[in-house]
Amino acid sequence: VDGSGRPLLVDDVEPGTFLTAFPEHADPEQLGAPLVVVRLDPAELRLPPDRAGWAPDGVVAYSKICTHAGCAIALYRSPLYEPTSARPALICPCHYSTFDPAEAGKVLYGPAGRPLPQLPLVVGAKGELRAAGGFSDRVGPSWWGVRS
Amino acid sequence: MIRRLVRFVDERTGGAPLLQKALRYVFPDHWSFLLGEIALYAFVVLIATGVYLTLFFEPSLAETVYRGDYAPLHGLRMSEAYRSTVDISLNVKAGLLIRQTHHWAADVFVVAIVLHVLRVVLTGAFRKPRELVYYVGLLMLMLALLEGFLGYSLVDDLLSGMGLAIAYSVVMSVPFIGANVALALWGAPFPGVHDFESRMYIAHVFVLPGLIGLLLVTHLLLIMSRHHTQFAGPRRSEGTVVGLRAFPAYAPRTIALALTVAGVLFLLGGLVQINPIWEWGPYSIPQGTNGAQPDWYLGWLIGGLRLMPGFDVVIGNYTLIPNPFWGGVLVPLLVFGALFAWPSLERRLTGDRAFHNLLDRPRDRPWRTAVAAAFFTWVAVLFVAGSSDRVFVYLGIPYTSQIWFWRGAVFVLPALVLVLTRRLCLELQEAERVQRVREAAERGVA
Repeated sequence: VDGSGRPLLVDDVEPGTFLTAFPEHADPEQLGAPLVVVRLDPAELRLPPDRAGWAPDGVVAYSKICTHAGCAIALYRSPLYEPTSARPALICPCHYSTFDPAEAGKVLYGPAGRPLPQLPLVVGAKGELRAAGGFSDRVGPSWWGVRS
Repeated sequence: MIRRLVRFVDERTGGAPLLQKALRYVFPDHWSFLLGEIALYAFVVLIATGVYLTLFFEPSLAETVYRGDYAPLHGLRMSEAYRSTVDISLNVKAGLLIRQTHHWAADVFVVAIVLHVLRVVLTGAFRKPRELVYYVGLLMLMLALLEGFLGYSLVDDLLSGMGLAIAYSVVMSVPFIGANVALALWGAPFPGVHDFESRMYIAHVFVLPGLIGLLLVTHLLLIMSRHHTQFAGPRRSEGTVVGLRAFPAYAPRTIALALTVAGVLFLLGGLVQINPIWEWGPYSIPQGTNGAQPDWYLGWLIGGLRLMPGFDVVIGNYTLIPNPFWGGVLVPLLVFGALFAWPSLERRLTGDRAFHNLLDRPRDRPWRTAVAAAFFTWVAVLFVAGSSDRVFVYLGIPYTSQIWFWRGAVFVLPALVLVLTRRLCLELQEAERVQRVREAAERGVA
């Protein structure tokens, strides 16, 4: 759902920008709740084989909380001119950890040590986005003994 | 009348000898000795303005909906803490002036302390018998940094919430105990329990200022008992102090300095906007803002966090040391560890165990000056690296190139500064020798 609790439709997600979303009934003020949702060209996706079905129509969802220091990923770098621009990336404004939404949230740059946890998506009967399972990894900053 | 009053007090406290000693205390004269005093008077302004702010600030994370005068925030959910700070800024009489003066005073307070520490290190004022004065001063600097951070974290605006998220991650990253300590402090995984705000509040308005005040008194008493240091000069020796008596000579001067510091701080608070929290908006976990920067005195820490290449120390899928540890914990440990170790290290390296009441000129101790300059450069590089995103905004130099540059510069520049500073000190000494010989020769001719 979006910030006001309205179900988020797959058609709401436009290329070139990101949306903030939450699992239905989740408390938005918990680290595990916020999601960043972007639409990529399905041909550009390089998800691992076991996540092949996680991105209906090229729409991917990741935890919005940076795995470095817990800030919200509030920047989306979207290429303005394909041949020369750097590829799309999700960026945290605190310490500029840069993640690749096309490649399962892999760290492209910056101090983060783990990829962004991905949330598998499916499209429901009315075109709404639904989670098909839990996050691929632990949400938020790491600590001694956390298993990734 | 005054005589009777003095006798009244003396007969009931026996304070006359002490007062006499204090009034006759001799202050040596040099501009750099005023840095500590500036810090002292900034602290007084902080207490005074802070008391006023507590009258209106609501240290509570209870949720409320904004219905005040500032239209852009209308209808937004926020904490009482943030709402009351917006009200202080926009509705309370003199609220914005006092809040901004408080913020400016905190920034100036830390500037003055840092310059004071530099002065003390560069002139060797930390040497026997004043090591304790120096250690107490460093403790105050550490507490001042924490106190400042808590101050702007209390507000619960978007920037302070992001700062706390980072602080939480840094605490979490401490090997072995991190997660337990973070949970004990916050009471629950971030953003923690509502009580966390009251914990910060009691620390900010009572525990830390109390500790700083206590250390301040200790600092001053220790200085009085060991006396001030001075630079060498005519009639000035290890055994005699030359300067102004506290009364009547020094008192008016220091009162004037106190009033000037207060005046400048209130001018800054009244004329120069700082931290316009109504523009940031309330903190919410899913939100972040671009160009997030802490107050200047934490810039070196954010630089350390940003410079670090991205890796967690893991064995298999078991995380040992998460990345924020390096910039957030190790860097401050190294910096303060080095500062605390300085007097004993220098004693060991030089074998100098004598009493020192006379200060060194930086050029006369080339190694100490060079190492201090290199050390300062290292921290300054971290600081500048922490501002790379601002540099990108203003100058357009790509962020990633800057960070790669600073990752190298953080090793190269201090080494370069070390060599250059030592060279410069030796050259200055040499120039003085030449000057002396020339003057002697000219006198001889005349």
